[in-house]
Amino acid sequence: MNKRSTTLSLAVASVLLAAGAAQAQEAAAPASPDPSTWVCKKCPFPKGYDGSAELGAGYLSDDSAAFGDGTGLDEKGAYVVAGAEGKAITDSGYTLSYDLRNLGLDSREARIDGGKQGAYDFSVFYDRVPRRITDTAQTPFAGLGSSDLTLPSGWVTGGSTAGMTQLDDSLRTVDVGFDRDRYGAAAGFWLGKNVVFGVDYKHDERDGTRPMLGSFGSVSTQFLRPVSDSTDRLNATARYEGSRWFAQVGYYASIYNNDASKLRWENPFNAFVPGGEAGQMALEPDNDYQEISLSAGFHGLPWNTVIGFSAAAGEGTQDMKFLPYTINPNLLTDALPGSSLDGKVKVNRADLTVSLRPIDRLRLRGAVAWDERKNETNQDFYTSIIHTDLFPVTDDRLNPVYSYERMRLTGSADFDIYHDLTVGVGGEYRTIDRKGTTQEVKSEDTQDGWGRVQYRPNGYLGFVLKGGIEERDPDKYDTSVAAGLGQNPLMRKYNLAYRYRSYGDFLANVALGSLPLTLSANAFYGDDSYLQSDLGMISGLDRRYGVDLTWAVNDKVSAYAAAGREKISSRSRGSASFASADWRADVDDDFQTYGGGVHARLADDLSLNLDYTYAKGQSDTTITGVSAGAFPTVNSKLNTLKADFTYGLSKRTDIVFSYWHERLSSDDWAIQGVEPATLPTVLALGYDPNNYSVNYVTASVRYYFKPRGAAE
Amino acid sequence: MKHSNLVLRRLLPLAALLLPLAGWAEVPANAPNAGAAYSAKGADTCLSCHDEEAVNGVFHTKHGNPGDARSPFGKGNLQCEACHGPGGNHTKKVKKGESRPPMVRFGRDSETPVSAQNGMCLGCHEKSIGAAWHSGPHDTNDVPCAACHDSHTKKDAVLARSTQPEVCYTCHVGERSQFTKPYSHPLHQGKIACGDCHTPHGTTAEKQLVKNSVNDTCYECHAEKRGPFVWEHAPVSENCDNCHAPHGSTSPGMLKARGPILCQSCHSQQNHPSYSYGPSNLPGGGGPPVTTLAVGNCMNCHSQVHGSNHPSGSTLTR
Repeated sequence: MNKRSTTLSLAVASVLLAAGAAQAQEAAAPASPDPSTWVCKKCPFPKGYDGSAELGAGYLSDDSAAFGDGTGLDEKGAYVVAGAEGKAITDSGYTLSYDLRNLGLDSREARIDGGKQGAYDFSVFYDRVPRRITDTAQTPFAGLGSSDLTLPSGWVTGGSTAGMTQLDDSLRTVDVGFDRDRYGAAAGFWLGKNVVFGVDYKHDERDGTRPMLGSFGSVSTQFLRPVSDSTDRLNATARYEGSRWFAQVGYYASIYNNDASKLRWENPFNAFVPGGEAGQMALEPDNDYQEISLSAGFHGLPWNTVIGFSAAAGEGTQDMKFLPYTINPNLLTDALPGSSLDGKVKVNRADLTVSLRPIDRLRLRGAVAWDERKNETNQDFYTSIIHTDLFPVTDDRLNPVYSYERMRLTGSADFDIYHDLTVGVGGEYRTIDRKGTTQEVKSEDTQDGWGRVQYRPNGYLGFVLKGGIEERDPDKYDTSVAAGLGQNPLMRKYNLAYRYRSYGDFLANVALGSLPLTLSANAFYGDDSYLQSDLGMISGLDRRYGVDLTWAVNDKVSAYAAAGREKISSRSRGSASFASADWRADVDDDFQTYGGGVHARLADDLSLNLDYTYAKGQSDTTITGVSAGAFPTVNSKLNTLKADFTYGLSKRTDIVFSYWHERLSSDDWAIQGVEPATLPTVLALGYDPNNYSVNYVTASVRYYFKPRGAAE
Repeated sequence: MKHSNLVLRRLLPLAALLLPLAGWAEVPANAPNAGAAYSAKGADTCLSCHDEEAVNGVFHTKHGNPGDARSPFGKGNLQCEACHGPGGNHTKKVKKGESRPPMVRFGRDSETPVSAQNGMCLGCHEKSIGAAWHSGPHDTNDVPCAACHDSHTKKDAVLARSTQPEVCYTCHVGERSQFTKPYSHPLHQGKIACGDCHTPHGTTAEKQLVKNSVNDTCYECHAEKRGPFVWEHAPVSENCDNCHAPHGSTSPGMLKARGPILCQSCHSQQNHPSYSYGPSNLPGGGGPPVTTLAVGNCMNCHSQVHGSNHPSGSTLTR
């Protein structure tokens, strides 16, 4: 018995040792140290509190909504510059840090983090994203920001905008935009060494207005719709980490609530039919989505195999109370099929990834991913559809429900021919089966194959070249379905059509060893051909390159230069005669950016940063055939110069000056010169393409709570 | 004798299990200092020479926290050598004319092989990074962890929204240009970062997205588009990318193309959906101005392009 137990133990140990030896290529065994004697006397562990606060003022030279989009700097005048950051650490390892930015602007942010590393952590944050759309819109409507837009008393409707005799006197210029306030809190808790719980909550609120259009028959009005909604997201996970594996369960919920789920507006045009003096639109309905997930992973298996698995099941619902078919009191309608849609969508997915290295030179990767969207929403016939609150639609219509099931199989192999040269091949096979309401293509598969070469002779030089071909092949383009939708039988919808794609990608990283220069370059080429499409998109070509050069002039000064260009060309065909193609649209976009900068620490107490960006875009649309002609070029040109200068008055105090000049010029034929009454059948907001030239200067004092350079 | 036999019987099975698992942090065999001895005094040895600000920044980070038993500077851990490998040879006296034996050095321009660099990181972070790293494009392209992460600085630029894009642009040079286009997400304003949509550590989702699909990723911020709606627009519920270019576009709404041409790549019904609209149809263009071109083009009427929840919204006009 004893001998047997001993033999068995030795056998087990031998097997385990052999397995360990099989991984010896990953695990070398140096002589055992005794770090318990390492006291780290010289380690400057931070203790106590350290931080800084900044206070000052800024001035913006001109109004510009476009400049204020995202920055909060939209109005000429003075601004407060305020911010602070700091961190406190106790002897027992508890930490608390904060980061407050742009407190005087509409782009303010605040964040607090804390905890005891390895035991628990928490964070709370607030962030405001100002969305400034335009400050040159004009509207006669009152009730902006509400769900009821009214025309001024005495308003005279017209058969066209020219007939709206009160329009000019009623117009007033308004700012258009909304703020997104984002609040969040997160926490993590470790239970022992292996278990970690996490929770992450975010709450977004949006408030303001944005442009929208509503029509009555063939006339349309551009007005400001309210934006007043919130989104709550919760993500909770529980995870167990073993020595070579982990498993995690998770719960995710997203709840959307819209305080402005409908919009009524008065018709500024003559009503085509009695009762058409006002219309009502349904805005986005409240909805929610919940999901549970499971994921697991194993690593350290033989052949350096790593396996990952995840699966999730989710359900989304929407049951907002229906609006009536129409608010036109003169039109009789049937009862609605229900009080709400009672919409329900189920989302399920599962995926498996495997990577292994059976020999040192060969890496193999594979993945299979499956997901489905099952739209289980009720389908009903809507029997009293009223087109734009004016015209009863004679046929009963069934609401569509779209579902799909997708599969993606990916595999690749990379082989090190030499230590600095790797070749790889790979492929992907994707399928989609469309279910529910029949579409022109029920199922399609996409096959993608690529090859790549990577040459990395040393740490200073690396090139990667990849090229591939992809073919999206629908099983059948059902022209009977298309005909049922009134489509030209020659049309092939661009997202469903057969597509042949060739592509290439090149990446280079060069560090010029003896010179303190690094160069990154990237080029991409993608060519799409819709070879079976007579009408619709027929080709698309995307060429893109970028270069980035960084120069560490010395240990105090660095400079960089960057350039990039993207050209996108697309061709599509149509038929005005509802027969074969009789017109073609060519769209050519060309976008270029150039930039550079210098960052210098001129002295211990003096630093200067300069950054410049130039971006130029143009988009040309040309029609050949029917209505031939070239649209005016859509141009945009952006110049941005930023400079900041910091001088240390003392070890605790810096003064900071910054200067930001930005100039944007753009034109856009869709809105250029289009005043509210320019188009006879569209009452527009009449806002201009974005053009501005602004200067923003700031001066502030930054105070450090601990002298800079003080010993920890 | 009997006692020792008893000990052997009781302890040997346990030892047999423990023996191969004993040992210190796994140092990849291709690391320059694999097999070397560790230093005599750990960080105190290293800091004798390497005490510059660029090094000491680590003590302000999670790696340098002595209060966390998992951290390299946690009690009884290997300190600098937890990441850089054994430093015994590196700290010895070097003969004249000989170069100092290297340790694991991190970064794109390091002579330490990427697999060795990443092996050191994954020795601790394998479980939290997840299995998808090994099948993701960054690992496929031999991107070292240190190409994005700087463990020795107080603030790792890639972890902050305001500075993250610059790190990504180091390789993704074309994207810098795309986000400068007139219509793009507010990345350059510091309000969104690459990591809000993409998972650089790898994921099974397409395009390394944070959620399983393009649409689920977009719904994180744009949940109003999720529906379901009474009247759905099929390409919308399938993929937002069918119409939008999220990295930036020269067309309003980050659309891939303007209407009506974008819409006419799918819609060809008789009358206005299939007509050709040219520059003569613009205001002042000489021809009759049409409702389908200027201002919102097709959306002048069909404004509910993402779907409508109105019972009469079958043509996406309500």
